[in-house]
Amino acid sequence: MSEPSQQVIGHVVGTEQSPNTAYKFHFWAELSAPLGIGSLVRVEYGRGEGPAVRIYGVVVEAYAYNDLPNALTDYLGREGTPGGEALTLRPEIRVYEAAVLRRIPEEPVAAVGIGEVYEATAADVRTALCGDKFEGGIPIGFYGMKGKELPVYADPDYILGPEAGHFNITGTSGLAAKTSYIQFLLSSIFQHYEGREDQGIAAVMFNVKGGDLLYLDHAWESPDDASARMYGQVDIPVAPFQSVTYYAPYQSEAHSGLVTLRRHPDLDTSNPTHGFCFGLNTVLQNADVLLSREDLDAKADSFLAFLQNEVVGRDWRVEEDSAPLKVDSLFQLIEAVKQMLAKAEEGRGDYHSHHSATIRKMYNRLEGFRQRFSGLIASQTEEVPPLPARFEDRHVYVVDVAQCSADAQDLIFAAVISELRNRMEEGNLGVRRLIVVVDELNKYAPSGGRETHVMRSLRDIAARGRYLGLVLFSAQQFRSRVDPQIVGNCANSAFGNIQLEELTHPTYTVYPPAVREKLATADPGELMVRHPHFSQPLFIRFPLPTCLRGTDGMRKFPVNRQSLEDEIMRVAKSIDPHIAPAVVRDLLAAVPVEDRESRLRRILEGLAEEKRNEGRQVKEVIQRCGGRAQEMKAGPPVPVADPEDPFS
Amino acid sequence: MTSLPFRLSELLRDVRGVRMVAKPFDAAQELGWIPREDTALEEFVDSDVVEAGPFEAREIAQSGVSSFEWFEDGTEKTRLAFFEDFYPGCIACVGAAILKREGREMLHTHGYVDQKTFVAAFEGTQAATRLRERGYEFAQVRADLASGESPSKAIQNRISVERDAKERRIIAKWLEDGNPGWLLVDGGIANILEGKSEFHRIVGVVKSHRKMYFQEREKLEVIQSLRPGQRSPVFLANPLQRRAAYSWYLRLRHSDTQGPFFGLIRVELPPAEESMRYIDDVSSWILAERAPLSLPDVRFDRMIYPIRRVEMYLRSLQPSDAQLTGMVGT
Repeated sequence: MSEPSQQVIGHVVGTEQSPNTAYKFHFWAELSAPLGIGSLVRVEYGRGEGPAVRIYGVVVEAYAYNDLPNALTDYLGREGTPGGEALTLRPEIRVYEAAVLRRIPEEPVAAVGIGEVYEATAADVRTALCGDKFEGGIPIGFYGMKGKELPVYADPDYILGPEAGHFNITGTSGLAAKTSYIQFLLSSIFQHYEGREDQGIAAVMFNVKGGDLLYLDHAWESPDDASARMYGQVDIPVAPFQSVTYYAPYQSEAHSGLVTLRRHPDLDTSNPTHGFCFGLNTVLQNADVLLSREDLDAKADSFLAFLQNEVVGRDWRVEEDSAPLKVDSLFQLIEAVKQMLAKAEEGRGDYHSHHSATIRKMYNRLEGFRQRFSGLIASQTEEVPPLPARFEDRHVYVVDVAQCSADAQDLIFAAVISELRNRMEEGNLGVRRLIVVVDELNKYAPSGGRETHVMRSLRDIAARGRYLGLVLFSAQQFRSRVDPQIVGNCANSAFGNIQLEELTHPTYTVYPPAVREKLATADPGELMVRHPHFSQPLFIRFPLPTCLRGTDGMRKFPVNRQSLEDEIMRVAKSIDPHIAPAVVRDLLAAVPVEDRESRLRRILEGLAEEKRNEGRQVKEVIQRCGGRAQEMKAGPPVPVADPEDPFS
Repeated sequence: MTSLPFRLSELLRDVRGVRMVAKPFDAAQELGWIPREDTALEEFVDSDVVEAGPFEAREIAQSGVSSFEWFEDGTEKTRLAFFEDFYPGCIACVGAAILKREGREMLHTHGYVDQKTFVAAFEGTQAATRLRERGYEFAQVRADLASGESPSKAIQNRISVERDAKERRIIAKWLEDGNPGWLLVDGGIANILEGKSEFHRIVGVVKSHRKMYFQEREKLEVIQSLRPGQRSPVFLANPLQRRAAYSWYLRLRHSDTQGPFFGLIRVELPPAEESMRYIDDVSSWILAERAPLSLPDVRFDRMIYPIRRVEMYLRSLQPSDAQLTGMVGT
């Protein structure tokens, strides 16, 4: 109890109507006291021979009133005239309700006594938040009014494991709550986490929107003074991430371009984005992401299992005496299924007890994959996986899915999460802690939704990841719509600006009305956090990220847009250096406008295949793959509609 | 003097004839006292008018400003504690305070606050003897039963005497300190001045009208007919009781349905010649103090708001009902 004395700003009151409890107390304070919802205070009292007691509390409700019994009194007193000033001011009072954060001594847990109230000092903030109970704290934000921020530290063992782990962030999109806070958290963790190299830490992030996370290795051009001051307080350099690797899916089977906004000569020179595509195994493992609930009935599921167990990766024969077919790629699988379908339709209507309608349905779906995910799924080439074989210390890996279709995003997300989960199980992450950042969690793990492979993986990571070194930093706009098992396993939570409708959900009723109202009006950079060591939620603010913002990055590094036509021209030239550009242009001009983009992609894939086969038939490929409608019949197999199969 | 015993019942346990009162009632309720601030007329007297001119209503030019800086009030709180052979004994808390208004805020006592809690017991009772022997703070009550004075009235008067003494003492200290500015006192100032006729910047505002200072119907009619912002001519109140003061009636508010005393106060100034110069100014200052309204006080029509603030302050210092019950210890 050797705290330097301070000026008293308030006094605890407990009345018969509103008595203090062991966890809540009331006090009044001077009108000028710098207090509001979320403010920390220290209370000291001691009576008789018992030990002096120190209580740390956080303000959760504020009241103001004067001695007017009702509004009518004021009306009468002012004779119905609102203006003017009486000679004597009515006494006005500010009364606060506070929740107990910590008490010293910690026992007995008695009701808060009547005592003097002090504004919390830096030492008080640290003590109130149990900063004396752990070492190597990680700054997770700043408490206090603007200009007087005090750092708030959290126990790394309770963020990154093994004691507890994970961080879940809720906030309205576009109000600097989620992505910005995660960037600050990562900066802070990279700076303050103590392990190095194989004991180190890395992060995997998904860029799901615009250029949000595509410029993490570039400095923010105009950091504000307040942010710089906050970074300085916690020894975090005002600098971008030093080591960042970017991944984006290939644009086509030919690996000719990347589906990303991070396409600029300067970026390609300094830190090029790596392309990736998935092979057959990955596609089949995550088939439930790509197939709808109606697709994946028991029969389809059984057929898929048959393909995985009996066909893929083997020298498969449609009949015992037929020639073996190597099935290592999606293209080969489609061919194999096509043969199965032909066989089934020739005979009794089934193949290996799988009905021809089921086979046709899966044939159509697989063929659909090849067309819909051209570039992302390698139909004839090797898989080029995202992410390195081993993660490196203090390295950020960004997988850009922002420009992909929703289905493609799901596939990428599911594949990466499954891969991380497998590596976690095998103890093969390469670093002691790997943080995986998942935005839009309500999309991948909705509450009350079907239990998908992704959801199972996320639940597993949330439940066991902290022991195994895989830490989930998740974010969403609506926490109420996220699988409760996942958020329930997140020991740390942050809440930014939240819409009023969301706040009416029972998830938030544990917070007092004033706290909810503050959440509804939180400014950018303001959050309420929960941490296992904080017995009450705490309002904090955090500095703006040190990295170049997505919009600024896109302005600074505008996308080098190469059209499909240009790409076709380039590949055509590489096949036949003598072909005249005008010939190619004329051929492309003949491609029908209807579904033109997918036709051009097919041309690009056809040319890539031609190149692999060392052929030189540029004109023929272009006409066959993307020419006029009547010429399309010569192209790849077209799904056959079966009137008996409602899903064909 | 020793402060009150925590449990009066313990102190008087073996005193023969003492019966403690467990009911947590205010003594005013239990003993049927009439509230002090009533407007029930008890007597009419005739007073000398000291202001020249006819006895008629005088209009006050209202400036909207006030030179009052200091405000004084006294309070009392009484709890019936015991009976000894049907003579009541009470625990009482009396106090007085002066608050200063600075700007528009009234926050500072400047040390002008005095309060005490004591037991009032009848002379000759064993309880009084026990309290005196043990050195506790108590006030001895004498009752002239032969002349018809009731014990309950006697004890009420005794407690009021203690309160008046507190008020007198605190105003005397204020005067000694030579404070600048005007002091507005809740109640009459005549007993404070004790017959002295020198001028002081002290104004008394009397809200109760148990005594009317005129008997003639014409004069009473003038007073009853005062409109808000009007005053009566000045008269000399209580000239023969060493409690003389210059006084006048002033109407603060009017209501057609609330009777003649609604919004009617009587103002007192020291009976010095200089006081006559301030009659209209003081009236104007009091009228300016009508806002804010003193609701929810039932006397809001006559209560000056700063006086209510002093009263609130004193009540905050009084022991609570629970504390008083604890002191009785039943």
